[in-house]
Amino acid sequence: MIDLDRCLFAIRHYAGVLVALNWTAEQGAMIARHGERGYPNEICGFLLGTRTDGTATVREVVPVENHWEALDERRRRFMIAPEDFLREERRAREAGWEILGFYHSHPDHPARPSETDREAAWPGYSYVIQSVRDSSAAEVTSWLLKDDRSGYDQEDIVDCGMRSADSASPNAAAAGQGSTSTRANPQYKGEEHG
Amino acid sequence: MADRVKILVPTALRQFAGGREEVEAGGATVGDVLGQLTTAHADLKKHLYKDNGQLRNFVNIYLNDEDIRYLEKAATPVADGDVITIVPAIAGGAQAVEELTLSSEEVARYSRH
Repeated sequence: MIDLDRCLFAIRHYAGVLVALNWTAEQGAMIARHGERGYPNEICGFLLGTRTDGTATVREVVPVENHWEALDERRRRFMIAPEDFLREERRAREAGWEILGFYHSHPDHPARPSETDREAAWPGYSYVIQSVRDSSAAEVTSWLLKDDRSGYDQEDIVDCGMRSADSASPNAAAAGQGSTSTRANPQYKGEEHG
Repeated sequence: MADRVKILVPTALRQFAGGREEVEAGGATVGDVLGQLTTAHADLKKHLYKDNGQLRNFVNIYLNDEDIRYLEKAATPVADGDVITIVPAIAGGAQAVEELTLSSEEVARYSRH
């Protein structure tokens, strides 16, 4: 079970500048619950939101169906339908937002990008991975594909105790700056280590 | 042989196309036109093509309103005024320890050649 009071706060290092991805406890819980509901299959969805002066804020989590063609492969594969992608792009644009990234689950598997993930990833998006073990949400991580596709930069996740009402407040970025670990994460190349 | 085919660049790739949403190019086929695009914008190439020169598996390419996998894939002929739309196929997943690449069946299913 996840702690619903916990706020997930992903910090993006982009071109050397610390960029915060604000994410409320409710939004993190939605992803965890979606992962648990879909277990043992992979689930997936969108993260829509805004970026202002280097701070990214998730405004909406949009669960969608896993459209991977072969039903018996959905335990280890996911795909978002192009119709869903075009719809969410339009909805985001109409709301003055953008697609910040996507989430998917890894049933009984670590929350780390696989070779399959890396092969299919697109640059510029946050890829959130929710591990689900024995029907229970476990660790969650966020990753950005490197421009040369050689691996990922991990986004730090830090508890900040924010609620959704606070996510747009001026204190949000300040809270992040104060509590964030700015250590560089080791470069993760998306390879399985067993 | 067309010389006025419009390519709609998805948001994720605009940073590699000089920030452009649309690029015009020419060629006889979809493959030719996309080849001109990546010649003009070399940083796009690795996100659209595999090292062996084939289109990446998880890229949807539409000629006007049709997915080229249901036409003639990269060999689909183009005409002046046609619009090629690149739509990201968002996919992935955990892999079994014994798998290192897509199975040959998956490659056949998702390839554009």
